[in-house]
Amino acid sequence: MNFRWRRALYRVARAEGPERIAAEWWRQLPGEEEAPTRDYYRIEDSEGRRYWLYRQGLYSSASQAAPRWFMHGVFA
Amino acid sequence: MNALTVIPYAELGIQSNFSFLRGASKPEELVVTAKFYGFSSIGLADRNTVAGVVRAWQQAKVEKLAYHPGCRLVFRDGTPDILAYPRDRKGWGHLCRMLTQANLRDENEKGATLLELGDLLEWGDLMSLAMLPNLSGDAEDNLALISRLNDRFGSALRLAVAPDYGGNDRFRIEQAAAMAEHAGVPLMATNDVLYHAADRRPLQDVLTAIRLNTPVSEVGLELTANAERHLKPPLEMARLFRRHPEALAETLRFADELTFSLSDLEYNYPDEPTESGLGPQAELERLAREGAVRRYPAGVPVHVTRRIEEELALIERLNYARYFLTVHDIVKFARSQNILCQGRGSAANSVICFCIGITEVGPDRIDALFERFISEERNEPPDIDVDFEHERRDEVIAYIYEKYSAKRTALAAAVISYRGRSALREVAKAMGLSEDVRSALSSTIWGWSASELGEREANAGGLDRTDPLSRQVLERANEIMGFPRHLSQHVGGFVITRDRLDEVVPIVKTAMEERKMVEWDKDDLDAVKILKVDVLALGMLTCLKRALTLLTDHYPQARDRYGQPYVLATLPEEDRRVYAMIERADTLGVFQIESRAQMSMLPRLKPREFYDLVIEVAIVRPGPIQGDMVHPYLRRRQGKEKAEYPKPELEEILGKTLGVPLFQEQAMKIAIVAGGFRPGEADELRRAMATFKRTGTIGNYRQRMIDGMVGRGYEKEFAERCFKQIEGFGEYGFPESHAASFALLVYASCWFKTFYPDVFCAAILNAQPMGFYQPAQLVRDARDHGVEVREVDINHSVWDCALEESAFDPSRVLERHASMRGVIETAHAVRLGFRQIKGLSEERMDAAVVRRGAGYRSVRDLWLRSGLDVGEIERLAEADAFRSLGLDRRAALWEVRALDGRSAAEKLPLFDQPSLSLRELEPETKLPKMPLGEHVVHDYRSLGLSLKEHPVAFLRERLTRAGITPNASLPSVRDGRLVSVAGLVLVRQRPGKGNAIFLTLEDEKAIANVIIWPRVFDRFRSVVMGARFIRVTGKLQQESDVIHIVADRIEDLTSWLSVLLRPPAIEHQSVGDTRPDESERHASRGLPVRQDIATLSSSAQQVMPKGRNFQ
Repeated sequence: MNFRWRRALYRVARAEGPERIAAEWWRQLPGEEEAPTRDYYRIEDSEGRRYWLYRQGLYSSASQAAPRWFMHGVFA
Repeated sequence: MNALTVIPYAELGIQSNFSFLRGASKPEELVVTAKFYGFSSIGLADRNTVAGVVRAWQQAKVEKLAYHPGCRLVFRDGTPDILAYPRDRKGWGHLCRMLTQANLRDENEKGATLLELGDLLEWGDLMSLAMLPNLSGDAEDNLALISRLNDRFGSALRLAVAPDYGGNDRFRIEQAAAMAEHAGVPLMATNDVLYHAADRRPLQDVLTAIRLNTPVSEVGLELTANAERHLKPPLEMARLFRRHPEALAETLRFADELTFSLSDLEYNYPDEPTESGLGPQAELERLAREGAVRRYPAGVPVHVTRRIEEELALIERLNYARYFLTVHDIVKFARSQNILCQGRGSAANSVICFCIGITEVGPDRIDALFERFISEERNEPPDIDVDFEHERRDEVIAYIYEKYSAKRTALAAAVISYRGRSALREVAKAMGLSEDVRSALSSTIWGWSASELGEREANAGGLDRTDPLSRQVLERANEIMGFPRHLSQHVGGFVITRDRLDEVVPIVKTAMEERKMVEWDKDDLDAVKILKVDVLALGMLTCLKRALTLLTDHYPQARDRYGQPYVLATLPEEDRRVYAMIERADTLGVFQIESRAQMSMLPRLKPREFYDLVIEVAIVRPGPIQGDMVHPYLRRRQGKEKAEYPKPELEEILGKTLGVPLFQEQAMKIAIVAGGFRPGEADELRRAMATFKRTGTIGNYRQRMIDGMVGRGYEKEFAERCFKQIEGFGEYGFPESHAASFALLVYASCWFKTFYPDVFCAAILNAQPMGFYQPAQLVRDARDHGVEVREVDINHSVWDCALEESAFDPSRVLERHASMRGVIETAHAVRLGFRQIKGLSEERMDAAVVRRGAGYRSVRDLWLRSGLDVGEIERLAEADAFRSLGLDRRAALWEVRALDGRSAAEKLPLFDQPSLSLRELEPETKLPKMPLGEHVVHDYRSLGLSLKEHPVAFLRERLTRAGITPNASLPSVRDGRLVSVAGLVLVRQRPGKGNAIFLTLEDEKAIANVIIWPRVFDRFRSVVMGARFIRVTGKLQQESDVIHIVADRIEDLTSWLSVLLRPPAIEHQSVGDTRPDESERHASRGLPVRQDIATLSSSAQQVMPKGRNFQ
C-alpha cells in the first residue's frame, strides 16, 4: 500500500489504527452539515519514518462525497 | 446481505437501555437488528440487573431468534466486568440469589447494587462466564484474577475482548489473546454493544451527560469518541477478529452451553394447603358450586351451571386453579375485617369469580365472555385486580406478607420512564440550555406525557426549530421518550411464588424499609407466568364505606327490608329518583360520571337503568370519542336514527349498544360469530389491536376477518367497515365487565347523593384525597342542595367531618335542583372536621377532643388542657375555629399571641382535667373588625374553602361593570350569543388526545363550562395553564340543557383578587378608633400589625386554588 503526499510516493511498511473520532455533533452550527468521522492512522513507511494520517469520512457513508486522506503530522 | 457469507456468530456482550443511562437502545430494537444481521443467537447482559430480559425474550420469540438471558456483573471492588449467563434453571436461581444478595446489603440505599467478587465466588456455579479485563490496567493483577476464577469455575470461564477503535485495537486484541493463552482460558469476541445502530451515538452521549449531570459539551473524555459500539454484522466481526477466528467460534461454544429459557420459570404458583384438604382444582370446584347456591338462593339457573362447568374445564386445562384460590383467600380476609372490596377489569367476565365473591357483577347484568378473561391462545395467567378501600388497603397488604412471608412475596416493579415533560427537561439540561428556557419548555407540556414533542411545544418554549441545537434537543427528547429511568414499586401489584422468590427473579429494595420489589413489571411477570395480584386502592370504596357507617349511625330508619343496616349489595336497586338526578348531570363528587366531559354527556344520554350507566362509563373515553362512536350512539338513542343490522346475529351482539360497538367483548364476539374466529383467536385479535403499533400483526387478522364475514354472507364493504371500526378503538375500548363493576359503584354513590347529600358530603370529605373536585366544590354542592354546613369549631368538631342533628329546610335547595326538594331525606347538618385545616395532626387533635370535656372556655383554657402547642392553636385560630367562644380569627390570634410558650411548667398538672376551664388573662380589647374579604382569603389559606362567601362575590360589581355575565344567569342567555364569563379555574380537562380542552370556572353562585379549541389554546396557552381567575369571552352554545362557552378570548384577571385584602370603603372598625393608634398599640405589644396579617398571605392570589389538570 502506498500513499502520495506533496508529490512524493511513500510505501507503507507498518500501520496502527484506526483511531476513529466522530464529530462533536452538539457543536454543529446553523447551516452546516455534520462533520465527517475521521480515522486516524499511525504509519511507518519503508524507510522508517512515521506519519500521522487521517481519512476524513468513512467509505460507507452514503450522504457525503468520497472520503479524502490528509496528513495530520509527522513524528519526529 | 450476501447469503453466501453467513458467518455463525453469537453476540453476548449487549447492554440495553435497562443499563440505565448507558445503553441507548430498547431490548426489542436490539433483537430485531440482530435478527436482521443474521446472528446465530444473542444474549442480553445489562448492568447488575435482569430488568430487560423478558422484553428481549418476547421479541426474540416473535423474530424466532435464539436468545439467552444474562447479566453483566459490575463490581464495586475493582473487579473487571464479567458477563454471566445461567446455563439452566438452577444457574438462573444462583444469578438471582447473587444479585439479590448484592441488592439487599445493609449499607445499600435503594437503587444501587453493591456487588463483590465474593458474591460471584459464592453463587457463580452453573453459569457460563466471560470476563472483560481492563487491558490498560496491570497485567499481573489481571492474570491473578483470571487464575483465581479459573480455579473456581474451570471451563466455564472465558476472556472476552472488544475492539474500541481507539487506535490500537490490533495490539489490544493480541494482548488479550496472549493473556488468555497464558491463563489457559479461551478468547471470546464481542463488540461490547451499547446500542443497535450507529445513529444512536448522540443519544448515548446525552445519556452520559445526564448521568454525570454535566452538559454534553463539557463531559469530555467520558464520552466515547466514536459510534462503534453498535451491533455489527457477523461479517464485520469476522473482519475485526480476522487474526483470531477462534474468538468468534468461542461465542457459539459459549451459547451452546446455555439451555436455560425464561419459560422454565412458569407456573410457580403458591401451593397452599386448602381448608378442605382437597387439591386446588377440586377446592375451586367446591367453592364455585357453594358460591353459586349463595348467589342464586332461588335456584341456580341452568345456563349458570353450564358456564361454571365450562370455566372449570378451561381452568383445569391451563392449570390456573391456584390463582383463583389465592385471590379468593385475600378477598375473604378483607371481608372478614369488614373492608369493602370488589374485583374489577376483565375478571367480571368469569361466572366463577362472581360465585366465589371476587366480583360483584353477575352474568345476568352483562353477557360475560370468559375468553376475554382467560383464553388458551393467550396463554397468560388471569389478571385479577381487586379494589379495596384506599384507607385500609395496608391491612390487606400486611396480611399477604404475613401469609406468604417475605421469602415468597414482593411488590411488582413499575418502570418509570422518560415522558414528555421529563424527557424534554433532562435532554435540554444535558444539551446545556439555560434554566429559564427549560422551565418555559416543560410548563407548556400538558400533563406528564406528550406522545410526541413537536413544533408547538418547541415554539412555546421559545426554541427555534431551524436552529440545529433546538432540533437536536427535540430529536433526542423524542428518542429518549419511553426509555426507563429507574424502577419503582408498582403500587399494589404483589408477586407470590411457590419457590423462593429470590431464585425466580432478583429482589430489590424500595423506598419503604419493609417492602421489597422484584425487577420485573406486570407485563414481564405475565409473560413469565408468575402469579401477580393487584391489590388496588379505590377512594370511592372508602367513601362508600364511610357513607354506609354514617347512614347506619345517624339514620335509624334507613334499613333494608330485613331491618338490617345497608351494605353495598343491599342498597335499593334501580330507584327512578336516582336516575332522575343523574340525567340532570347533578353528579359532582359521584364516581366516574363527575368529570366535565361526563357531565356534558349525561343530559344527552339520559341514563335510565343500570346498563345505561355501564355504557356511560365506557363511552366517555378517548377511544369511543376518537372512533366516532359517541355521536351515532347519541343520535340513535335520541331516536334521530335507526340502527341497522345486516344479520340478526349482529343485532344480538350490538343491540344493547344500539348497533355501535363500544366494548372489547363485543368486538371479540363479532369476530367469533360473524368472522368465524375461535374464542381464543378473538382474544388474540383484541390484543393485536391493542399492541399493533409494536408488532404489526394486525394485517393477517384483517384478511381472516373479512374473508370469514364474506364467507358468512356479509357484504365485503360492510366487513371492511366493521373491521376498521373495531381497529379504531381496539387500543382504548373498555371491557364491559370493567364498566359494569364500576357502574355498581356509580349507582351506589349516586344513591347517597340523591337521598342523603349530608352523608355523602361528610363521607367524601373524609375520604379525601380522591375524585375530581376539591373540598370547596364538594361543600358548595352540598349547600346548593340545602345541606347546612358548619364551620370547624374547637368545641364541636372532631377530626373527621361529622353529622349534627338539624332540621332540613327544602326551600334552601337551589332552584336548579328544585326537583330534589321532595326527595332528599337529610336530617342533619355537616360539621367540618379538624382534618380540613392544614397543618394539624390527627393523633393530637383526637387527644384534644378527649380532654375537651364540657368544652374549652378560652384560648388559654385550650392551651393549658388540650396538650396542643402554640403553633397548633395558632393554626386553629387562623382557621377561625373559635367562634363558639365568641372570638373571630383576629381576636383569637390576639389571644394566641398572649400565650406564654415558655412556662410549660404551668401546663403539667392541668392536663386531663376536663372539668377545669380557665378564662383568658388578658383584659378585653377592642380589635378592628376584619373585613369579610380578608376572612375569605384566610379561610382559603387554612381550609382551602370558605363558608362565609365566595371570593368572586367581592368582585361582582366590577365584573358587571366590565360586562361579565354571572354564571347563574347563563341558562337565560340565547343560544349563539356572544357572552363574557369569569371565575376561578377549578379544573382543566383534555380527554384523550383530543383537541378540545374543557375548563370549569366557578363564581359565587354557579359554574361555567368553557371549551377551548386548539387555535385559541395556542394563543392563550400560558393564561389557561397558569392563571387562577380568568375571563372568557365567546359564543354560548346550548344543547339539551348543557351549556358551553366556546372561548374566543381569554384574559387573566388573577390580579383583581387582591381587592379581597384591601378594605372596602364601607366596612370599617367601630366608631372612634383611628387606625394609626391601633397600629401603635399593636406594635407596642410586639404583635403583628394588621398589615402583617395581610402579608402572611402576600397576595390573595396565592391562596386561591391552582386548578387541577386531567386527561
